[in-house]
Amino acid sequence: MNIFDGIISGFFIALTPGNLLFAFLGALIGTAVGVLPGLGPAATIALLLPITYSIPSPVPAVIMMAGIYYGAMYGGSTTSILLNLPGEAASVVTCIDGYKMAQKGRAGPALGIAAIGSFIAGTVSVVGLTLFAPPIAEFALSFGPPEKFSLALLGLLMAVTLSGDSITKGLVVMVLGLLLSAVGIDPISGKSRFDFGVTELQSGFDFVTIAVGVFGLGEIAYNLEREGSVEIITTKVGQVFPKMADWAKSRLAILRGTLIGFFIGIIPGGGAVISSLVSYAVEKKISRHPEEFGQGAIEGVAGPESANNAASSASFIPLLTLGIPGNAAIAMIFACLLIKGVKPGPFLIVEHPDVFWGVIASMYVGNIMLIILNLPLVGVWVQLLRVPYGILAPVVILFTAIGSYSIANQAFDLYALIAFGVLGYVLRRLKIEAGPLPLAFILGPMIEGSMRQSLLMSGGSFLIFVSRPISFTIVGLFTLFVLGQVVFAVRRARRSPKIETAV
Amino acid sequence: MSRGENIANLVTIALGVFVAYHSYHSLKLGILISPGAGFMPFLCGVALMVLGIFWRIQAFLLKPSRHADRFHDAQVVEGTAETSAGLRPRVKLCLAFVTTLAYAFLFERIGFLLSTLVFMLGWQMLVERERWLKSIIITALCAAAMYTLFRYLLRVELPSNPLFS
Amino acid sequence: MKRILVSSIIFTLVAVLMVGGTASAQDKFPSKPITVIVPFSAGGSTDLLARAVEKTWPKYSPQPLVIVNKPGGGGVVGTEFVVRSKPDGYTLFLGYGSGHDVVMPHLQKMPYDPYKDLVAVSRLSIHSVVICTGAKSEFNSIKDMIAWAKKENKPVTSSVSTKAGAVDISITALGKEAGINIVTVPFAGGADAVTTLAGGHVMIGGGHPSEVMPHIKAGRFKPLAVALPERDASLPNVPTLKEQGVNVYTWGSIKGVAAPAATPKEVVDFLDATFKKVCGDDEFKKMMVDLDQPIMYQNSAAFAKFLQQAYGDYGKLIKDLNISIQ
Repeated sequence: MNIFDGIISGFFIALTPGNLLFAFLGALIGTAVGVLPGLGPAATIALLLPITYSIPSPVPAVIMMAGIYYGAMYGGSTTSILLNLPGEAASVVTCIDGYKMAQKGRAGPALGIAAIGSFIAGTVSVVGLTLFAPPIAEFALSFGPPEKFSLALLGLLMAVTLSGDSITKGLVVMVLGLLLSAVGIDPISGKSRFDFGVTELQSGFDFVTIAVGVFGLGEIAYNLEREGSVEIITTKVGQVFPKMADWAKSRLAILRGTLIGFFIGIIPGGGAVISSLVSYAVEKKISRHPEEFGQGAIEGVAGPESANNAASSASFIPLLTLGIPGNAAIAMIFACLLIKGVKPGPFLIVEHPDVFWGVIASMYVGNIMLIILNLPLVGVWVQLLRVPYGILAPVVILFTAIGSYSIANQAFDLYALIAFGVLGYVLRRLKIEAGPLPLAFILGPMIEGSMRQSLLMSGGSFLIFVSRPISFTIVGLFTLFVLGQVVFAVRRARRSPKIETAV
Repeated sequence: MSRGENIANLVTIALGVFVAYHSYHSLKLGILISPGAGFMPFLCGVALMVLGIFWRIQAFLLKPSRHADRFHDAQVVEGTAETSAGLRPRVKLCLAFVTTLAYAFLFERIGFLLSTLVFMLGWQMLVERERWLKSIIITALCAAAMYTLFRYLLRVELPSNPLFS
Repeated sequence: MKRILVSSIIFTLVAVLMVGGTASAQDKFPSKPITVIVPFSAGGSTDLLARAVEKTWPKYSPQPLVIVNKPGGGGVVGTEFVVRSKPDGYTLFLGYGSGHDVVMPHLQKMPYDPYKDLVAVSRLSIHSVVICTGAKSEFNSIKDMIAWAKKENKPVTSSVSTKAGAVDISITALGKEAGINIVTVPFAGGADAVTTLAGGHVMIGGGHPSEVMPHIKAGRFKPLAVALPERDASLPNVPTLKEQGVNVYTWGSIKGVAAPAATPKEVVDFLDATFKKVCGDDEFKKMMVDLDQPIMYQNSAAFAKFLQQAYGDYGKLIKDLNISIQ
């Protein structure tokens, strides 16, 4: 059947009361659990997967899982903005400006624009998925190790733009993140690195422990030390939604974020993180007031949030068309489908068109549901900040501790969490932006692994990174970017020789 | 360079040296066709050393100009300046740290519920200096809520009290 | 007065919660859900097997299974977790007999002993190693590949799931036996490796039937050989390496269930019996056919013996062909 017939039939399936209910339930549960600091989409789906076993037909089951996935992503942004607690890698960038906005009393607009941006990005991306899925999927396949390396390196480079005033210090933090990712058993050689005899270190650190420790706990520690009781300013309900000015500023950021997220999100592995980084960097570069970034620029929330939502939707493409799960959460959905006897892959559209189109249609529906759910809730979330810090802080610590503990059921992770909290506190006190750390941590294995795989493939030649067209393009892009930075810095230094700001 | 930054800088350089050495010696750099486990960490170690030195140089260059100092100070947004406003905030932070550490220590030893109670109670009384009645109420409610959430709603496996089982 | 009343009420509530919350260990096994650790990522062949079992299990047991993925170190991370957990039968390891149990101990030091620290519960399946190449590749058989390598004197690149896993060793052995240079490129698991082959980034790739079948059916892969002593039932048209003149066979990746060594025998036997029932279940059989995984149940004692044999076979292969990792 052609695309239009397919989509219409899909809507017929998605809009049945039963499936609508499943979509709603999924979105609700996903948001509720995603809001809990430390539980990202993959963990949420893992927890809730067994519930879908009792649902006989695959269509409602997958619809529910997709709802959970989106819901969890929305929920993750909420904690990033309100509490500086990233739910998963793709939300880290949202913390940077989102939390600053919350501190300035603009939590409502931040949450609002995140919801709106995510909705637009999600919807546009599903349209893209509908129209262009097969050729895009083939494109995704052409990303082999050299391309992944170049892309991850590009992402890392973009992460430098998060480093605030001092690039040198930002780079130090980034390298630290890379080193932390090297702790544990090296997958390519099988050797255990930097474990110093401590067994628990052999599995390496978990992203959640690091991100939540450095960002969340570090922030709490810093707040505790301030004189007087900490009042996170709240505003009256009236100012809870974004103002027209906010919307005007964010419109294009959302559009750009969507495009960036869609294309980068298709690539299996790391797509959402890299797309949020690229979006942030692009917004900062294009902006007429780049100094606002890091202090609460709404574009710094709108862009990355749209990017990571577009990437989430796009990550369904390799699953539905090729049968390749792009990340851990999608892998769970993949497993769910297989258990129900549906094999995602090139034949899915032929063998089970109801699943294929039903899922796509329910993604539209899911996006709408989420925005209906979340916009009114923005007011509620903001009230959460009214809870006295004396209760909020320890409760957050408890949640993050339990979240960290349940990763491996070992007390060691609690100590690790505290240690990272200390690190976060130290960075905060030294006015060093911690953003690059968890991002480098996530990208580290991708960079190192892909590099070594590429060298194995090429027999030791570094030429492989430029001899292949896609990789060459990416390398070209970031050479231009670096050159641009250098030229810019030189010009700035020449113009004002007295003020020697750290470059 | 403030004292804190100075220490951080030295730690960075020292860490760089250590990592580079360890990577070279124990982890092996491998050959180009197949970089060993130590390859990337070695590069990171070297990067840390270089960056640390660069950092120091930049800080040194920043000093002479008084204009730059004022500019730098004006940029301090939330006051890293040592608060002369008394010991209380520092003590509070230390107590919070100790309480959290105690939680980590007790978590597996006396079980989730008890350690959460101890933590919350400790926090209310030591860190927040609340009255004991209010502390107990807050503690009980929070602990009950969290327990219900994690044990029954989410079915997460958490350590129970070994004294009872 | 009021204070004392209020606080005693609260303390009572709390005490009740404390006592009521702990599960009594005197109940009959199993009295709470059983955690099954899969030391590989979600969506991989082992994970899918685990989930098929998880779905069928409630029919034969009062308590469900809970699957937890703990990937890392080629399987070592998750397995070690099970080794160090309480031997009460509530934490199990699924995937026993995979590369990290039968191959890795020959090549590097392990943080535990897979045979002393674990007890075999049941064997569920065997995932053979299938060697494939892209549909557009010029190779149509192993002979073609060997001829090409010898003529061009260039290495053949192959994607494999993990370093020193069953797939890696099988392909490395093939290379050594045939006298050609095969460079194995390890990835983060079977799905990742197979995807890379699908993208045409490597010349050949090894994988398990459930991973490669979808791509073979889609016309993206050409199967070249299977590394078993005899042909695999799910791929009856694919010749073995032996048939093509390369005298190498391996047992592939064995998938069974294990528990910490000190687990009581009654518990192990109970679990074994339940797994046997699962393997005989019709719904389970259908799921396994869909997954392209053969059901090969063996009970605890037979499985333990089989593992020792497989371990020995791998050891011999490694020694004979002088395989090592740098």
